[in-house]
Amino acid sequence: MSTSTGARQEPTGAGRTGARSPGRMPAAETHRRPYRPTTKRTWFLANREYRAYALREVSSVVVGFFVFNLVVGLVCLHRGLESWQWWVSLQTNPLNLTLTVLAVVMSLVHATTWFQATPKIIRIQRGTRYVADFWVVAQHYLLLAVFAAVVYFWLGGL
Amino acid sequence: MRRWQGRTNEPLMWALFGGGGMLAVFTMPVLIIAFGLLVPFGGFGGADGTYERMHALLTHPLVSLLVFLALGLVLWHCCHRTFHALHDLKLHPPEIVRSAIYGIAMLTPAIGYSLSLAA
Repeated sequence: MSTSTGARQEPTGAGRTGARSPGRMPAAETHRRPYRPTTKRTWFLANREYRAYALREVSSVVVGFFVFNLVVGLVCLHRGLESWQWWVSLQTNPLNLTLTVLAVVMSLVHATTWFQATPKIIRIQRGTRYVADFWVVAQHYLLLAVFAAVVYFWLGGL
Repeated sequence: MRRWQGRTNEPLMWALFGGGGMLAVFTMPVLIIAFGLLVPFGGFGGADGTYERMHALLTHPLVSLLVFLALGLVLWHCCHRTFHALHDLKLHPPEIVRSAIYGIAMLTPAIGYSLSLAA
């Protein structure tokens, strides 16, 4: 991804002594006054759409922390019963519980906004018509429900 | 080498991001509620019971590898979004930060799987 031109050096080392590289016009000779739009760092708080976007972006950070937590849990499961008991008791730690509650909210934000976007990408043609958006979204919720049922019955021992 | 000049790796990065996002929406809400709330607060009985039901399947090397890869893919999605959110905040971090963030996504499941095999 890094640019190849940036690494090119003048053979004499002229670039490093402060001399201007050939081909670049000195600043005083140009009469261009390009328009430079200014954006505040807090631009994403400006309106509802931007705030929704920012919330969706930040949701991934919280979910990422929980994935890390799950990786630790899976390692603990491999290490034996005592390790697993330690990890399960760690989940009731107030700090960890805060992360969990936040992660539940954020994962639901992520999932619902993702499901809303799916009909824009998945267009299924049946005959001369497209399948209605509702069915595309419903199919995703169905898959979520199937996974939830599998985990529920597996952990509950049927 | 010449073939790759001026080309971007963004399609590959985005494909992994999209795959991780798709996986995350189906699995993460369920996993967070199950393992963050129901298991620790006795929704499925004590820790001994859940250990007994999960241990045999999840400690199989191949199943374990697949689960770590799946978690890694979701983590990749999260890291990709985190990195691009920095740009939205008008931060343009150097290459090292980019490597560190994607490195977390690659190293976390790799180290986790190595520790699991060693356990």
